[in-house]
Amino acid sequence: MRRSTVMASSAIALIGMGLAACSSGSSGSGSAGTTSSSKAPFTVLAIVASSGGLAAVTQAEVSGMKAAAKYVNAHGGISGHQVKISVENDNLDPTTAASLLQKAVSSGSTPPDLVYAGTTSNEALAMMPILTQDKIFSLQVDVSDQTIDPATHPYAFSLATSSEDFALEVAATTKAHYPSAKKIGMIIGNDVNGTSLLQSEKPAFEKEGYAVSVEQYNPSTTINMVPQLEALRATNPQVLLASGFGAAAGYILKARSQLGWNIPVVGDASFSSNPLTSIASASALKGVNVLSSAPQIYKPLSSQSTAFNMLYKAVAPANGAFTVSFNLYEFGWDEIMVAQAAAKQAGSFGTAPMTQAMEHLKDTNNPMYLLGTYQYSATSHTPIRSLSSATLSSPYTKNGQSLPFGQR
Amino acid sequence: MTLIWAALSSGAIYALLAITYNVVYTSVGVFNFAQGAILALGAYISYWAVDQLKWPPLLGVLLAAAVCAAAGALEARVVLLPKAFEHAELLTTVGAATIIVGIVAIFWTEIVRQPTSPVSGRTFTVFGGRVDADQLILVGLAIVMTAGLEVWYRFTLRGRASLAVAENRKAAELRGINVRAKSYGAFILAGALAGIAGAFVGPETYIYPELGNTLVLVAFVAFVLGGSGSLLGGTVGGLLLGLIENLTARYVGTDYTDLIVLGVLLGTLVALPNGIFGGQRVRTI
Amino acid sequence: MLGIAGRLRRCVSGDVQRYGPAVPLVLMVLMLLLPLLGITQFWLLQIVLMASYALVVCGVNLSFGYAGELALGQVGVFAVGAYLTAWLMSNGFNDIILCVLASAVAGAVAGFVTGLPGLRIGGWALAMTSFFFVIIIPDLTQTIPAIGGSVGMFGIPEPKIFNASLGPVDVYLFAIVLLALWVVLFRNFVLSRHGIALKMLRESPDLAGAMGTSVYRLKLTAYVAGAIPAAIGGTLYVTAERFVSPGILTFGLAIGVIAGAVIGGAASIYGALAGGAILEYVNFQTSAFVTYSTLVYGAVLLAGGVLVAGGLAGIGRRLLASAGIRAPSVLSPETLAGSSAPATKLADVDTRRGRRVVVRDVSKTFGAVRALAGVSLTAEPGQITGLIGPNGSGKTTLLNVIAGVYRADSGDVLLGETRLHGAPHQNARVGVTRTFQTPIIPRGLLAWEVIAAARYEADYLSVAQAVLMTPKARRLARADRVASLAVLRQLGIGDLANEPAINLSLGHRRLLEVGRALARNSGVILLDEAASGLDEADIAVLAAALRNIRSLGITAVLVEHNLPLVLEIADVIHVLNMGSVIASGPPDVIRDDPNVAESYLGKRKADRTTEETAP
Repeated sequence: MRRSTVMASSAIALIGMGLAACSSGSSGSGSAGTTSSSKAPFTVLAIVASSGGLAAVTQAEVSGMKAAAKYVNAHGGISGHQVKISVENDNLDPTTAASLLQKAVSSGSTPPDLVYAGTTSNEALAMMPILTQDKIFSLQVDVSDQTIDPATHPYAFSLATSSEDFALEVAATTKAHYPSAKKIGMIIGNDVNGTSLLQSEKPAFEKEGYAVSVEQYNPSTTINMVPQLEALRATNPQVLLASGFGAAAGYILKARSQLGWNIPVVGDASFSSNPLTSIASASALKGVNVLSSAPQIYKPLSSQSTAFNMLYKAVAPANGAFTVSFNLYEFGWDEIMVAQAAAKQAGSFGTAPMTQAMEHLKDTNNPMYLLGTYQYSATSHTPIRSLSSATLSSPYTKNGQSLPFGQR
Repeated sequence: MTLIWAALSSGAIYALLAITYNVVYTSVGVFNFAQGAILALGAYISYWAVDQLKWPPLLGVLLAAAVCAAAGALEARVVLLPKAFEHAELLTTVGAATIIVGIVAIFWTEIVRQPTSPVSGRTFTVFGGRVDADQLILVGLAIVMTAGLEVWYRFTLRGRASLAVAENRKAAELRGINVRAKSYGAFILAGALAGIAGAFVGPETYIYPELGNTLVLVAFVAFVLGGSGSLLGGTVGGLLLGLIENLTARYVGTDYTDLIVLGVLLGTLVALPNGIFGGQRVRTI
Repeated sequence: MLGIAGRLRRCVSGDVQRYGPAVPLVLMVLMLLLPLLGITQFWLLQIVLMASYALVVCGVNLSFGYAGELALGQVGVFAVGAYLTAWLMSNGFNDIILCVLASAVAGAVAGFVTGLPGLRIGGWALAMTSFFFVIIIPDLTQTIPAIGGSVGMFGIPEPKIFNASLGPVDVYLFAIVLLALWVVLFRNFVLSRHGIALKMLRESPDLAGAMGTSVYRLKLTAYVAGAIPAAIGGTLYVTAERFVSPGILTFGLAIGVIAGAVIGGAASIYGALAGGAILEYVNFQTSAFVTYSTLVYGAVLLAGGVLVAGGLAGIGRRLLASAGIRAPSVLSPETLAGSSAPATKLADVDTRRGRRVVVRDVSKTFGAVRALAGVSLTAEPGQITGLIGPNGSGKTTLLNVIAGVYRADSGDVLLGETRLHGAPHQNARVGVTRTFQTPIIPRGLLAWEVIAAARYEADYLSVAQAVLMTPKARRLARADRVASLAVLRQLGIGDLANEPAINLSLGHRRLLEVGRALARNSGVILLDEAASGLDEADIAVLAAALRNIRSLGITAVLVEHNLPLVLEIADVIHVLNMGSVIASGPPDVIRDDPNVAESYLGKRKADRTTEETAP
């Protein structure tokens, strides 16, 4: 009797918790700014991984968005409409991401004006068919070929350079810094990120005339990368392209220093977003470079734009010690700023006019943008930028920004 | 040779976990899935003490041992209750592991951290291969723990009493051995050992809440390969698996590593059920 | 007013066995009406997801809740079903029925292939191996480029049925029908003799073996049967979500599925549905809940291992029982009345079925102890043969040798003309049944079911026939009930048919053991201290049952300490001491034999010489 009582009460407790959580609604952050006017707000829905291994990355992007929204709302909103951001947590699970999106677009509720679809491609891929089918405008950082493809997903755009272009930039900047190198070794994970990196980067390097050798690791089971790096070393590369986030990045650097291998390292985008100085020693970081672009390299605050200073003030931690790279906040900021530019040009928040406006965006170089220029076309939903944007920089950071190449 | 050292060091990590599996298994006859999570907890406690509270490393190790011993005791409290059904302890120990991982995630979040090593971070060249100080310590720790436990089990009265409990609970009870205390003791000892191991494993693998999950299954294969119930077997099994994993990754390819480990597991279970060092069981038919 | 309520109540609690199958159908109709009530498309798809997880939990239930085997590879089979469906639909074969059938077949094959080695391993090693499979799924997906590698397959086309496209609401309707169909089949399976055998297997594999059931085959059946819904769950998932990737197949899902099974109630049909629903619901909450949900899962698993594994379904059953609603396995009053044949007549009595047991010069040594030293004796059919002797004389060892639990070091045991050797379940097959001193009575079975379970191997009924309730299945079910009731009456405990077996007194439980042997048409029944612990009344009932058994021509061998009982009912008694037979003969002879008295009581002091020591 007692046992069944315990089971019963624990079952009831479980359901009760669930109902309570459900009724308390989403972990919505509420609006950034009060809606005093009767005009319908410009709604932004971010379905992202607020828990799990990438929580810090997500939190940075969302903070950037909220800071930008606060600014916009304080200056009249988008043509008088306040910007309202809600955040839903999908816990890095594509099924949950799709379900959350379906909930938001189900009949009866007004669909959001702008969707930020996921922290990773995995989530974005699950959400794209729904976004396309229900004709919802989305702007994200993800750039995988299957998601940002105007032919299959006409309403999806990205803030980041396309993977092909980015890959060419990486190859170009590697060539610029290491002109005498003939062979590149790539150490990448066998997950989504790694596979797409392999597909874009390898041909780009080969186009620049490099020979490429590749070793992969399994991010969920590998605890030591000496075998992989030794296998790479046996192929005699002159530069190592490293890809990995979290412990994996640490294992790469550890193995490299254990092997006493002084090969220069170029980190890819995921590698470069690690707080490298807190997971590797100074000696392990010798010869290690991360990828940046000109706007991402450290300059003292006085040399930075107004927008930069506003964002910095809004999100910088008390002691100035960023745990993730500052450009994640900048992506969030630019998300709102670019969306605002498109909405202002379109004159409405409907998906078709917004899409049209984005593809013919006139405001390509707004001083409020932090990460470069934004220009799109009917065939390119990733920013069209000059190929010399990417550059190598130091793994050491100040104010969350990379120090220039070679500095510490 | 550097590869061999790296393999031995990873193998030592599996061996350390397998040792704790054996401590519980020999005394209680239960496989404790939560040992991986407890080891991770130990790593975090040591990190907290040394990197966050700025204590000396030795105190960090001791605190980790103490907290993990307590965690083992708490777990024992539930696991040793009468079972609801055959093999219920698998469910219970998985539940305990999940809870420990959850608690660690709540307190320290998912950010990957690098604990400072209790020994210096120097790299030596031994037998022509480069090895870090903390890797050598891990191998040494595994050997020392195995040797120490074997001595204790074979040559001390308390240790032999534990073995008696493993062989026949009822008989041991009739001889006046406090079987219940011994069972608790096994969990507490295994917890303490996992805590100590964790303090040294953390700097090598970095720490994140799910660290235990990554290690527990391969260490299980080591446990089975060496012979469940054999301390020496667990250690040898762990080192062997480290070698198998790393050599496969180096010469065959990472994609095959997990498949080969699974193959080792299946092969051992089907062809050599008692493992390399497991004893012959008496069969009456 | 009261009259109506009473009549309603009687109607509901009426013949649940007859109306039972209607429950899933009624629920199905209700669920099909939901879209008309304005439930949003989002929630409809959520329900489809819940259904898909519920099917996986069903799979866990079958192998874990019913067969008691911790085979947890259902997530892997779910992956097989999901990927196969995804591939089929992306390559033009998007008929949903085709996909369901293909998945079911693939699932069964996968279950069979992984079950074969897996179940030989058993226990926690099997559980760990199945966790391992979950880890290597990403590696496996890498090796087959056609299924999208680590990215998976996205944007899968809409499913169709007979060339008509299925929108989200249609998918929902299909899922509900499919789920209802599955519940009906599952229900038939667990209420059939397969279900009874599985419940017995869960509690005691030894007993199942002693009953002549091939434990291994039964477990494999359960495991393969559990793999089918898991695979179909994968199909439902893909038709609802239209994507699949290794990212959805996590360790967390594997654990969540077990937790769902435990919460829902691992040995229950509806428990699986509840478990699946809870699993999906919990997956879907806010981030704070997600963090704490890990703790809740862990606590559920922790608790599930030590509390009675009844779960929500167990609570539900108790509520139903207290409302007077009879569970499906309880025999109705009509059934009880209908088969009231006179106690002494059994439908298939064969008075010549007893076989003679010959023990020829059997020896058995354990280490330094010689338990049996060249024992020879005979037990005739239609007789009760008693085996008595002081402690350590070897009588139980001899019984075990005859039963096949031990193999003799030398000598033979013959059944009629044939030599006996081999495992207990093989001996049981040829008609030698042994009872245990501590009756092994599984939980969750009623008294009549315990007897009926013995008929599992006779007249084999395939799973397909059981599940589809073919005429043969129905006929056998009826025959099982009739035979079981007859045996219970034979033993004088016919009125206990609907009692949960574990509630019975020790004496009655012993009788159930004997009853099992009768139901199996055993020719030889070996009773190990059947009277120990019984009071006078129970012993009388036991004696009457034994006399009935004798009159059926069965060979009964009774190992006993209770001398008065043996002297009263045995036809022949053999006395063992220190591994040898020291006396044989009818009760009067044995009663007066001085050697017998001496072996029990020792020599009189006056008769002891200085060389002899007390036995």
